Amino acid sequence: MTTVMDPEVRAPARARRAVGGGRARASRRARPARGIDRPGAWPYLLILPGFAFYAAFVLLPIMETVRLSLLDWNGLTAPEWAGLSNYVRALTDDATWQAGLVSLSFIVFSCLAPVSVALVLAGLIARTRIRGLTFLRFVYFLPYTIALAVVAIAWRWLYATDGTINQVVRTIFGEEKVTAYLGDADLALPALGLVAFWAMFGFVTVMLLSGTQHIPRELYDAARSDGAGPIREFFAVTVPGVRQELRVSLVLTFIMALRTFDLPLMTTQGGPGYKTTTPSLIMYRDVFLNMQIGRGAAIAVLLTLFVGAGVLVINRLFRSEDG
Amino acid sequence: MVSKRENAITYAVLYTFGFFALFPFISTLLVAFNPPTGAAKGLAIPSPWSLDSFIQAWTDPMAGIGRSMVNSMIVAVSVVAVSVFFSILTGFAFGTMKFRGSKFLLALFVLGLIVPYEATIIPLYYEFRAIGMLNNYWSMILPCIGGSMAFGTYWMSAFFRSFPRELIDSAKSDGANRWTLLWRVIVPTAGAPIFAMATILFIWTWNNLLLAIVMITDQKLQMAPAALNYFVGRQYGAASYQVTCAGALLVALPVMLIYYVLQRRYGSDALAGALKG
Repeated sequence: MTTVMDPEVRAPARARRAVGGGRARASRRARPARGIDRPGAWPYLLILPGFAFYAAFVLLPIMETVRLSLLDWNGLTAPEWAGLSNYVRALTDDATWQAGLVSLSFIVFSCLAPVSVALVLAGLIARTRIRGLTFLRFVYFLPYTIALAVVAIAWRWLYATDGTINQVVRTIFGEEKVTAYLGDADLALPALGLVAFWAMFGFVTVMLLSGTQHIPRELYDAARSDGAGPIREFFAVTVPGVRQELRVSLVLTFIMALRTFDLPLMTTQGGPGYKTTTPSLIMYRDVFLNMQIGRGAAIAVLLTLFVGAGVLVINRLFRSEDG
Repeated sequence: MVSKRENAITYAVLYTFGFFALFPFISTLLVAFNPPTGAAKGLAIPSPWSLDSFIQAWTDPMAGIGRSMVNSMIVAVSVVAVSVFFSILTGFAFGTMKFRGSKFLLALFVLGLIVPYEATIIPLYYEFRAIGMLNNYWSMILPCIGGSMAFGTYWMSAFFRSFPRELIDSAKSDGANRWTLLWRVIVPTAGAPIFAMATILFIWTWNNLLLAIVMITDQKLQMAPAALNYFVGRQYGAASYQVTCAGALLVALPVMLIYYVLQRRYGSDALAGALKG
């Protein structure tokens, strides 16, 4: 990151600091209009409207969520101080741990698996000139742009007993093999996992492709003249070439994996049992259906901490590789 | 360079995944073109092809996809317009000026990119309820602008940082003040990044389900994804799968159109480029 210095802004700011003191405060209050003309105030004025919205609707609510997580409140009567009991209750509840396991599965389904497959696809594309690449990229990226509510409906039809997949199953294996995938205790989670994978792999591929474009062709030629096969070439040229894109896609898909909400809400409602219930779904139910606001807030805080820790770990992994 | 056999495998793999990406859309599209009554089965090739399911989804008085799409459009356009304007301002400040606390403030904005939405939604709901602002457009628009500022600021700062210094300096020596410099010199050259940002913010706002079902319970004001949720809820009641699929496609249409325009004008890299840091 290069730091851009604006001399016009810097000089008056320094001058003002030099004058400083109590006199400035009094005169500023007396003539507020002058402050707008002073270049030193410019950047702050530019930031002000955006920051006001950001602070009011993101930063303050985060702090308020932390406060709520320490209260016992049903949304109607006066809240009572609860200390850490909401956290204790959340962490001793089997449902929370079950949701944690579902989250881990989604880290595989919508983060690790799509990133691995996307790496291979981007590697394949980087090696040669592909006809119809523009079309492929458009198609790959399409699932990511579509609302998960829409995705859920499209896949419910694929998985339905009268639906597309079962039509194939019925023709090949007969009626008795027809399964309601989303209602099956063992299959519901992998079935949703496939949807999550579908929604993510193309997004990551297109992102990695924007990295492979900057890999000099000579690197591939050099690897080949060294006698490297496609696999060594992949690990020696493609993967190092997209490090930055790889890091960002891992971070983004990791966050989306842990936030999984729309998909189970609109397909399985978290069932059968708690098989597909994610932390976000528990939070939503606690707060808006069961009126246990403190506990829901505690889960939101835990989820945020977990996301933050994961992002730190991913960034740390990539940084240590640099050294 | 690459052998024929390898090439064939490459094409097979790439187009298989392309088909995989498209297949759910094709299957949904086929179902939706069936007439709304009767049972569709599997890969239902419609005979005859019918638009009735789309019409029913659009006009259904309870789910009301048409009405919900108008609501979503009002909200998304307002959010994008305001957020883009504010993001240009914040990005201009962070990208071209050095001031006290700039690093800390920018870091504060970027933090919003990794904070999950779940961390803010509970207080947002209770505060809007406390001032009697649930069930109106503002309860969607204001939080979405706030949330958009993290990405918008981050993205526009990166753009302004890469903007050639010489152009800024020469405009200044021509006597342009900062305001005209920004709107007359810089912004007109920033079509691609601004349009890409607007597209992403539009997609995020349009697709936001959690906020929509929390803030708005009045059927008449329902956002588009939430209206689909309502459809799904009575799936096995009045609405047939054909109508639900038609509704889903209608909701997906604006986003697909905007994405298509963006990639036609600026290439498919525009969005991905915007999302990587």
